[in-house]
Amino acid sequence: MKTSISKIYVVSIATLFLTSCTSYFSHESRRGVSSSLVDYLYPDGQIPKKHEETMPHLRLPIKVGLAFVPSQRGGSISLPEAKKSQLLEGVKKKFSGLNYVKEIKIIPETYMRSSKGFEGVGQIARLYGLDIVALVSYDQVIFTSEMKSSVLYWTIVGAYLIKGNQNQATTFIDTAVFDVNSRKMLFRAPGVSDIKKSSTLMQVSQVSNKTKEMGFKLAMTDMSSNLANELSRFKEKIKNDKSVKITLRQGYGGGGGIQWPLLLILAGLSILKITKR
Amino acid sequence: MVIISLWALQNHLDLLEYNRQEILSGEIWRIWTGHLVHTNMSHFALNILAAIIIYLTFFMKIKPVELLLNSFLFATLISLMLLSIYPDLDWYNGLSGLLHALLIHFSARLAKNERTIFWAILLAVWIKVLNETMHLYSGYKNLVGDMLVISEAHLIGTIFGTITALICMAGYQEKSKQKTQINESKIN
Repeated sequence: MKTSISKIYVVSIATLFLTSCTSYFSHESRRGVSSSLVDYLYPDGQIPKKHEETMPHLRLPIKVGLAFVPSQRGGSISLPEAKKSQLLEGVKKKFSGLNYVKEIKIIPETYMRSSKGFEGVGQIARLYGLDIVALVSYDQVIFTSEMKSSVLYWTIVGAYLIKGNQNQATTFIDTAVFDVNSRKMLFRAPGVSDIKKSSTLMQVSQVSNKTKEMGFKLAMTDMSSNLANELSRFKEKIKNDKSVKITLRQGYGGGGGIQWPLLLILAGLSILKITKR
Repeated sequence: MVIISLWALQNHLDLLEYNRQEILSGEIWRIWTGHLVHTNMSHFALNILAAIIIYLTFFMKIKPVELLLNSFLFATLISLMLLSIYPDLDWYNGLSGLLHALLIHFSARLAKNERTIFWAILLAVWIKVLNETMHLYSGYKNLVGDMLVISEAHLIGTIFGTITALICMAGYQEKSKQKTQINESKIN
C-alpha cells in the first residue's frame, strides 16, 4: 500500500514537472490590434445617411487634422500614445511644406475616443479649426512561433543563446482623408509592412515589441509615400472633373530672400574672381 | 552708410513694405520702398550679405548713378508685375527680387569682357530660379526660417534683368555699328 502511494506520488510529481517544462518552452502566440474607420464613423451599427450630392468646398490654404482611429481590441498591445504621435509627426513633416496647407494638427487619441461618428469628427474639427481630417486606421497581427532550432531550449542554456523563435508582424495602415463639412472622402492611401525577426526564448517579448513598433513605422513610411502619390493624383483629378470646389481663403505674403546655396555660389565665384586678378 | 540707412528703415516696416491693399488705396511709395525693408533680422542679414558680395566683387566698375537708375527701374517693374499677375500676394518685402534683376542685368552686360565668371553667374542664377519656380509649382514652399520666400519676385527680377540686358546689348551693338560706319565714311 505504501509503495503504491509513493509510486503515485512520484508519477504525479514527474507529470507536473514535465507539463510545466512544456508550457515553459512552448511559446507560440498570435495577437492582434486593430482600429476600424467604418466602426468609428458609424458606431453601434449606425446606418449611413442617404448620400447627398454636396460638393466639397476647400478654401486654400487648408488646415488639416491628423489622427489615429482609436483601437477597439488588443488595447494592451496597442502602441502607446507617444509612439503614435511620433509616427504622425513623421507624416506631418512630409506634408508641412505644401503651399496649400496652412497647418497640420495632430489630434491626440484621447480626443478621438471621447466622441465617435461624423458628429465627433465635426466637434474636433471645430475645436481645432480644421477643414479636412486624415484618419489613420490600422490592423496589425503579431505572430510568434518556434523554429526547429527551438528544440535546443531543452538544454536550458539554449533558451538564452539559441534564436529559436520567429516574431512576425504584419501591419496594414489606411489613411482616409475627409472633408469635414461635406463629410465626403476625398482620397485614401494604404501602407503595408511585413517583418520577421528571430529571437532567443528569453528575448521573445522584447523582440516582439520591437517588431510591432518597426512594423508600424515601415507601414507608415509606405503609407506616406502612397499618400504623396494620391495627393498629386487628387490634384490632377479635381483640375479635370471639378468634383471639388477650390477657393482661396486669403492672400499670402512673404519676403524676397537670398538663400544660402546662392550666397555660397556667389561667394565661391567672388573668391575665384579675386584669385584670378 | 547705406547699410545703416537700410537698418533704420526696418523700424518702419509697416509703413514701407509692399502691401497690395495699401498700394491700391494710394500709398504708391510702397512700390519702391518694399524692396528696402525686411521681415526679420536673418532676412535682412542674408540679403545685405549677398548685396555686399555682389557689389564688391562684381559691380565695383559700374557707376553708382547707373546702379541707382537700374534699381529704380527694376523695383518698379517687379512691384507692378506682382500687383498685376499675383493678386493673392498681400504683402512682400526684401531686396532679393531686385538683387536678382541687377545681378542678371549687369552680368549679361559684363559677360562680353570677362566671359567665364559672368556666364557662370548667369547660369547659376537661372538654374537656381528655375529650380525654385519648379519647386513652387509642384506645390512646395520655399522658406527662410519661418518666412515664406516669394520666389515669384526672383523669377520676375531674373526675366526683367535678362530682357533689359539684351536690349542694352542690342543698343550697344547698334551704336558700335553706327560708329564704325561713321569712321569708315570719314576714312573714305
